[in-house]
Amino acid sequence: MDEKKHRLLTSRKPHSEPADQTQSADESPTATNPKPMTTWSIVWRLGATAVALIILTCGQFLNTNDFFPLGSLTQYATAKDLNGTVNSTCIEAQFPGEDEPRRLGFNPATVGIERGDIESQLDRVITHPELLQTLADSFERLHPDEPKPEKMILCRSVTQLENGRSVGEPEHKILATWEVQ
Amino acid sequence: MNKPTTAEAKAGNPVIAWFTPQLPLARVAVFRVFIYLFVIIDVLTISADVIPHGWTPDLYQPLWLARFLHIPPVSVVGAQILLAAIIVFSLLAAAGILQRLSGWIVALTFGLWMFYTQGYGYVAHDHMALVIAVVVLPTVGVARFRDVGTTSAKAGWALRVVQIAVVLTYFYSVVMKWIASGNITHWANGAVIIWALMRRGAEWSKPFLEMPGLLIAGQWATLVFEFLSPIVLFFKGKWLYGAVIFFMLFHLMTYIALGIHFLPTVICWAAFLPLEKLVPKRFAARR
Repeated sequence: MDEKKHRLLTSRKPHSEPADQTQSADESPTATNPKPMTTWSIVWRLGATAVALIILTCGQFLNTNDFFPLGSLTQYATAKDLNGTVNSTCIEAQFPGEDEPRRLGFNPATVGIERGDIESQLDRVITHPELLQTLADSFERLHPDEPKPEKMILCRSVTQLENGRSVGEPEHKILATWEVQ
Repeated sequence: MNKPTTAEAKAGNPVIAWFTPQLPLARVAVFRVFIYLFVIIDVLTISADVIPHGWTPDLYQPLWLARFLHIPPVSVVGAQILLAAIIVFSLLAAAGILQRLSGWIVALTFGLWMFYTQGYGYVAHDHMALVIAVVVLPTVGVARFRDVGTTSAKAGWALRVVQIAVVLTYFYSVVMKWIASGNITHWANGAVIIWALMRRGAEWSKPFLEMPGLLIAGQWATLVFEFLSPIVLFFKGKWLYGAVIFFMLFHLMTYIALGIHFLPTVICWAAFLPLEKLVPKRFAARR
């Protein structure tokens, strides 16, 4: 009783109490009068939505990622042949005193960059193998206790498919090599 | 009691009303917590490659907007400063402190971070809805947890735009599959899942490589629900909850099998839900 009296005394609008109760039940989203949006506010919002949709749509038809975040949604979009090959790019390093090159993890923690990033600019890296120097530098900085690699080898493992099943051992191809400086 | 309000009368046009629905501001306040806390997780894990990118400036392939704005390759120190700014202002924005300012600073710094994670060759498309959410959230203005009963068309627009971005992430990926393959049946009857499993599949999922027929059926199913995803924009009640759960299970499966989590899009599915129900009633009622 005292609580109700107190509420009545402190409430600026005594008759608003039932409305408050309705709000707390969260069943009436219009319990408090919403502020109307100005015409300009509506126009720029709808305009921006339309422009973004147009850019996104163009991004698809032009098949370009360049408009990120409104670029083409290309991940896993390319069809793969059931009788084709599955390629996977790899990175190896020849260390001093070791007979065989060692395969490194193709990720930012090992060589400073993701496999997908290099695959997306593979032609450029093959034409300019000196770009592998930056991977060697990253490896050196990220692994101060390891020896410095003498040579970086960009490679590809190729698995042949037949009716969607792999046949034989994966083939190992060398795409580019770089003597580390 | 149900007299139309001024805003409702103004939004008489059904198209405008659909793009700018009256939604509780508290929904935005809760959605902001989801988004900004996720941004922190994102920059520390999923897109944490920006700092190592500081070591590989030669591999910078700036995207259109980055070229237009002459954004240089990131340095290690620059990336660390950016990371600190994103974390601090995301925490402020999630807590609703200096809402507009913190929101816009996150939009700028996180946007820059995105150019640095995506600007080195590979562009992942799981971040589209998240980037859009971070850009539109500050346009709502002040939104408090207690605003359960206060609705706003600005809140409605921001959430609607995020919803559209979420479903278009799937729908346009079908369009892209069509364009990239020339013939959509080549994609669906092809070896995409086989290719993904061979390249990055978990050990337990390798036996599925012996069942190409099943994987092809999976590709057809994926195409169908991705193509139908825009329908979710018009779902309500149980259908809506059902659709959200369905997509969550899909992403869980691709994560377990392939390590593809799609979390930046997954978190944005929250824009479809009545998040204001998470606000305890005692907070909602107090004014």
